Amino acid sequence: MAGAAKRLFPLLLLLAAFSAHGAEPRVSVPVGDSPVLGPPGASVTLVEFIDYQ
Amino acid sequence: MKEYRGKIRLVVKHFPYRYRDLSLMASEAALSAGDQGKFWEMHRLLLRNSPRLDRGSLLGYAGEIGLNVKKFTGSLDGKAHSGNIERDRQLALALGIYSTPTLFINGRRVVGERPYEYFRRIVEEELAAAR
Repeated sequence: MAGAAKRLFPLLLLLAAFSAHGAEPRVSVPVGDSPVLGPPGASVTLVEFIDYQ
Repeated sequence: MKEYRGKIRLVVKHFPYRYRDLSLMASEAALSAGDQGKFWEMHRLLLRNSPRLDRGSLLGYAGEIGLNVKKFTGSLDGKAHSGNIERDRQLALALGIYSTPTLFINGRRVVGERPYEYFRRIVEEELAAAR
């Protein structure tokens, strides 16, 4: 029983991630040493990929 | 996004298309300006003046924002930040990005330019979820 629950948990987590915002799951994007504007503790992080041309 | 000062953090990653030489040089220019503490000043100038991104224009922008132009030129010509830009490019490819701008708002992907209200709605949702 405990084994089954353990196996099911990641699946449930995945389902939750999918259902929270439509089809696409959230993507984890590392900040690394990229230029940052705003406080590190901000509740919203916006990562923008740009091309200047 | 000024209205969210203190609540929001903006991170810039570079994804210059390989065949666009000026684009790559512009990314170098922004990061070189960053070495002198003026990334955001250069970033704004580049966005405003695009596509005027030839070497002469970039050196002009450097002077405009008060950079040490000699140092800036050395960094630009020496491609001092090619490693950082290549790392960003690899990350972009790994994330399946195919056009710019592509944004991730707390990991939620937004492709292409959108009206301000569109971003505002997502940011509001994220702020509400964090409360």
